[in-house]
Amino acid sequence: MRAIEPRFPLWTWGLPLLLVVSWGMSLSLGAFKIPPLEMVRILWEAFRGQPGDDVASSVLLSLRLSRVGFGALAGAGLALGGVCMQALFRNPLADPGLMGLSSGAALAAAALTISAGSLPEVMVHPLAIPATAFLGGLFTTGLVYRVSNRGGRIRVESMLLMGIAVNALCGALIGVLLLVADDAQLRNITFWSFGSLGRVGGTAMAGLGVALLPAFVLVWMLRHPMNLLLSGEADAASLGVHVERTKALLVGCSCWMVSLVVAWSGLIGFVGLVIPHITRLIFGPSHRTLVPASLMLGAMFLPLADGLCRTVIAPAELPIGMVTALMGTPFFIYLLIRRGVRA
Amino acid sequence: MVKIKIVLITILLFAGISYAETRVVSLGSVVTETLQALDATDSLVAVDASSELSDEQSSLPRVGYYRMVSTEGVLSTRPDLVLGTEDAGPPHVIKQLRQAGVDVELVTAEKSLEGAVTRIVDIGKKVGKQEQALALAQPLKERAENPVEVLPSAPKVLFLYARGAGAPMVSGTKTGAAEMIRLAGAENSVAGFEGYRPLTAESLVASKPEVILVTTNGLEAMGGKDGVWSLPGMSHTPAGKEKKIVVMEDTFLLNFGPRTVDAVDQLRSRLTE
Amino acid sequence: MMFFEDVRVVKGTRHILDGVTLQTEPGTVTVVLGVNGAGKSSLVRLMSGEWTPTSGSVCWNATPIAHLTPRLLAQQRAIVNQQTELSFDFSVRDVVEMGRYPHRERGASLIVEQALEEMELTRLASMAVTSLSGGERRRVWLARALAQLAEARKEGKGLLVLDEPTAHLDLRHQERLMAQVRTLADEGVSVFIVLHELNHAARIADRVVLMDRGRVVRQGPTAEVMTPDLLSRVFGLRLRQISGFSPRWQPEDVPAELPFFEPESLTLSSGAPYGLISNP
Repeated sequence: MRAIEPRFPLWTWGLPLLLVVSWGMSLSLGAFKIPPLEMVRILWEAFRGQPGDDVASSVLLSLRLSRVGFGALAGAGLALGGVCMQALFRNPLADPGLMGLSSGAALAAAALTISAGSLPEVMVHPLAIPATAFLGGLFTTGLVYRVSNRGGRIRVESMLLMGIAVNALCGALIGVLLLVADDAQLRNITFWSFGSLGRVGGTAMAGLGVALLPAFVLVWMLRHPMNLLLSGEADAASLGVHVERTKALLVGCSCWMVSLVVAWSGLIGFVGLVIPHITRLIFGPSHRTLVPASLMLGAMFLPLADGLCRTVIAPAELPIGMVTALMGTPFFIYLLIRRGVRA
Repeated sequence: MVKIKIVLITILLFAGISYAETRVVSLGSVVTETLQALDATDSLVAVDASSELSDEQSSLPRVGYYRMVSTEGVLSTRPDLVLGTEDAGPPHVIKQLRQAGVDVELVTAEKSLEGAVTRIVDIGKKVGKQEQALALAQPLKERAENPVEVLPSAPKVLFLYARGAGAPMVSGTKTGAAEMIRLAGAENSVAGFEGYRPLTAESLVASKPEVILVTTNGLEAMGGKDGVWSLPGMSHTPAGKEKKIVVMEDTFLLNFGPRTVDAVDQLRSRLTE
Repeated sequence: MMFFEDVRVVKGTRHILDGVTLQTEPGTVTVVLGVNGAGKSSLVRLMSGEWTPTSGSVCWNATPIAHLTPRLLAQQRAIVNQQTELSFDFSVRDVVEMGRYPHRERGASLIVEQALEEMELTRLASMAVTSLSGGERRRVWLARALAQLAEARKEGKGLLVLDEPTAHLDLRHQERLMAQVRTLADEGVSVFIVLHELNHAARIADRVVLMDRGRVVRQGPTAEVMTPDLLSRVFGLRLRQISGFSPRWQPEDVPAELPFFEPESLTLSSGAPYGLISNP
């Protein structure tokens, strides 16, 4: 028998503080050197409504600020997407990437990009790609869920195998698209498979913020039903949870958050798996703390990872998906090992 | 004393400003090659990954593959001018660079003699070496107006390209390699598609190439000449039977820059060897 | 009161329940008996609202449960399922606190502590449920049901549904559970239990519902339904009655392991284990 150790209670004020510090750090990272004091000056001037017109100001204000902001939103979205998937599948291994959500979204977005030339104009609206990505993610996630959920029980092996199958299928179909794509489309599609936060500007950040905030609120409202759902659908139903409604909302939320991030910044893996996992190890499995803590850790992690992308091989840049994997996995393994020793 | 100091400082400051000429970032090996030919490389502060640099300049920072540069990476070299071909990007980076007040000049990326002429002239204009540029482009212009005749043998040439392990790519129509083969007076053995496609054994046999054309880097990636001859299907082609292969340096063959007429002539003469 | 009227459940071509009419009564322990696949657990699924009947109706106090919000129903009806699948690292107290969800109460409370106490879990309250044994887990889920029904108990109503509650429990906790079930019933709660063990049923049930292949074979007071003939027919095994029923079960009444029924073949060949304990 193992006692649950008192969970780290500091998150109420500790995490928000860390979050702000990490954003400051992310802002200071990049190929273009801006000393901390200079950074404070630029931000202060911009805050007073008189942004400087030097290069440092424009790098900080129009490039990094929106990148850190977008990274924070995307990180939070991916982490919460993972939280939703794990509650839905009642398994900590469920990850938007592993379950085929991300690749479904990427495939749909790529398909739209390829066929954009032969479609009516309505369908090539800038918002058409996020919308299509959402539908793609919804479809693959629904498929994986339907197959692995039999009579209210999740079969883990079906879940993982279906995820593999769907990912393989999407990968193959993206390969087919690559063959028929012209040069410009090709670059767009390869962009999705790498992932980058550099493509976005202030507008995309605001757009993502507007789109994601309702989802964040919804996930927060679902924190108790999610806890109950973890002990099985029958159990949750007997405790007064609208099981079908909760499940539909969880699928919708995770697809919404992850697909939008994929549509704007490409495939960024591991965030949805590692962040909730780490959060659980530190704060426990209850969604009351898991939801806000994952949100904040995600919003912390991705801008920092992106900061590393900008600096490691400066002035060139690393793809963010690679860095998330490089940063996320060792930490994850370390925590698993430490945990194993304690147990 | 104070006055003298101020004067001194002022002089030093101005000296500093006049010394700091236009800082140029070049995106694309053809741009860098052209700048070198125009002797305008002093102002270079960074280049893309594909550019070939002289030994003295080999320590210049590289801002990554020219199609995938990052805004901040380029800005960190504090450029005044970014010179690239239209392929340089991605587009949002070009937009952001312009927003940050950098002069971004994208010259045509067309893989033809005419394109090369325009490119050289435009680059020359931008770096204030118009005369030299016109002179540099003259042979290209002449060649464009008086193309060489088709070789009597009109050999079928297959261009193979590889960047790592895995199936090499073959060039269809509308590629730089196809244009070079045409300019040299030969025939591209593949005509069924545009752009590059992965090589298959059957299409290799079906295209019946008489000569294989590869670049130095491509040849290395395919494991040398032996690697080329052991490609599936190769032994059933005329080129494979006679082991006819032409190897040329990558940028020399494919850049469509100042050396392209030489490259065409070299290709032509080696095809007839 | 949960009321089933002519309930049919068809899944594909299988008739899982075929015209079941039954009800739970306040202050009464109703036990459902039957072989595997007789439809016992389906009754639980209908009571939880997880399934809806293909035809017929399942009503809670005259309202079809499909018309009730799950939360309202959950304030008065608690279910302890046969299996628990929680694989996340919740503490015992966390799980019991979940029982307060339908009452919009979050976190620790006196009710939660009382429920822990009643199931003798106070000492284990901060343990990880994933590290508990099967029987301990079962008690945690029972405590959760107690926390869920705290208000209903005070008002002398509510329904507790238990699917195989004694499985995995050691002797002492089996006894304790049955005593608790009796107490709850005496407080006015309806208790509905799915059981396999005939002797437990005989000791705890006020009413017995005997099911076979989706139909109710007979229901009524324990002594009327649990006759050797009827049981032998339904279970397809010769059974004989060893002792009489006590009218109302009390913990001291009957020695813990005195069987009421046992297979004839078993006593003939190796009756020793039962026989030894049966002597008070």
